[in-house]
Amino acid sequence: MATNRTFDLRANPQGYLIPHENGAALSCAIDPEKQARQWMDKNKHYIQLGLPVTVLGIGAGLHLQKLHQLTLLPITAVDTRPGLISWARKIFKQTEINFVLLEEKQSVLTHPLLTGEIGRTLPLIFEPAAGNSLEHFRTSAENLRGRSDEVWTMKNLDPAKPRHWREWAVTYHDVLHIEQKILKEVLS
Amino acid sequence: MKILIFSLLRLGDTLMHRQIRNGLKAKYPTAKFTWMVNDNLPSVVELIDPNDEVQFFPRKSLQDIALLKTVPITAPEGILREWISILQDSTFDLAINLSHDKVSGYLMSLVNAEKKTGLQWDGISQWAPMENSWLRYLNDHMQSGSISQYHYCDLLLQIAEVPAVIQNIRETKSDVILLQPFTSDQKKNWSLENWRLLQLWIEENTSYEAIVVGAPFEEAQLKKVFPAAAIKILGLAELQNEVKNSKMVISGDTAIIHLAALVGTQSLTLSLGSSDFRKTSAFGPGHFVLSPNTKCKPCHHSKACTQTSHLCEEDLPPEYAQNLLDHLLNDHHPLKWKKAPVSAFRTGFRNGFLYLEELSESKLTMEKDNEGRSSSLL
Repeated sequence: MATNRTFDLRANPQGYLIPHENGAALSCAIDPEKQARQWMDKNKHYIQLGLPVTVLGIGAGLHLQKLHQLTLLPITAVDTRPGLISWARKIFKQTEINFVLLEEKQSVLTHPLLTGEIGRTLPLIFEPAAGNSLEHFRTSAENLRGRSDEVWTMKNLDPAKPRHWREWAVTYHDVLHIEQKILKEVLS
Repeated sequence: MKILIFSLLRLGDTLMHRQIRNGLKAKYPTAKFTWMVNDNLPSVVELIDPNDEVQFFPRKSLQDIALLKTVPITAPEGILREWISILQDSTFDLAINLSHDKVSGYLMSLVNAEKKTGLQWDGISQWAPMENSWLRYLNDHMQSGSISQYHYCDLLLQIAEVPAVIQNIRETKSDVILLQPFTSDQKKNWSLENWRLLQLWIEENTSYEAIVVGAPFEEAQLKKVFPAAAIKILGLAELQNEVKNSKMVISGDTAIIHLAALVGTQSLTLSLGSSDFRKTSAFGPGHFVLSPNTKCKPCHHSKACTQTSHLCEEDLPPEYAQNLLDHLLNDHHPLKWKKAPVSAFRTGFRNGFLYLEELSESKLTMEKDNEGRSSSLL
């Protein structure tokens, strides 16, 4: 599927570059600014949690720009289109946003740059940028949250067992930091 | 002087901790207090001195977020780390841990304070040594099942090295007696039928009006047994006012008893189940406790009743409460208490410590003064 995809950038009347896949825009071509603002509003409660964020879908990048302005926390942006990743790296080169290519059918559970993020990052999907990758994004987000059946199986833990649950939710370092000691008590 | 008080237990404990705060205030009159309390009971603010600051430890928020499927499984840790960084922006002259649990002990190690009192993690690998002998006593004797010679507040006052600020029973012309049937623990509850019998007895045999109080979530259950006109559903601030304006409060071992002690309203505690009245009775002079002498009492705090029926409740029929109230309110001689399955106690202070004096029929009789009045209410 990926091999048949065509990707190009087209300027809209306001001068924003809008990425297109097989002729279909990967963000709003008319008012991408408003669309990015709405996405931020929709996700603001989660963003305010103060967690590292992984955005699935680069689109025109305006939502990444707004997110970057709002938080000092690490941001990772993931997409399935190599051309879009290269373009985004150039326009965001002044920032510390980390861009990662996730091929179609490639799982975050085995991705060398994303496995370490599982359970530790807040995945947010920018749906207009998903195109044909929406299902892949959703599965990836579920895995990145660390709550999917696949993750539990991979870690050989049973979510129904409170001890296993705490082991995964709290203890992921060999030595417990004080935050983890507190959490073990609070979540018991 | 800035003092941080860790009070991360239940409402009743926080109310008892107010006794230590009052002791600290007596020792350091210009001190500014910051309370650290759990966020599962935001309304506790209503019961804390308005001049004090209250900060919330996000216990409930962390538990809720841990179950939220839309955030990563380790989200609570990131949130806690952020909360700790904000906590560490403040500095205190004294941080005192009144909770004496692991969470507060860990948090103590993270606080910027010149002096730290109470249980604390050493910040590296172990609990800091308990050099204070009162702290060791608290650690050894306050667990469920162990016997203590001292009241919980007395131990905390000794650990804090501050005096008890004794609140005597206030004179009042109120003709209201408050009954609070529910506690936070089924094992500590007297049946609603017993409470109804007691309420009727007060109405018929004394000059007092018996009002039943409860929280909003208890209203439906109370209405099944009591007439609506006899029930008051109250928030915490309203409850404090009602307690202050009442002649007496009667309840199980729960927060309202400690509220009564703080505002100087006489209380009668019906001590059942896991209630260990020697550790947690009303901390003030002139309060009363009725405790059945059931062998399994006090039982374990966090476990369900192991008996086939609620034996301690069966050993405390309403007649004993009525009998004691008859003595206290009507100046009548008590009925026969010999070989009773129930003991009655009155609180007082001796050598600066709370003690519970057991009352017997003869003792109660002897306490009549020359004019034949009972001294118990004086």
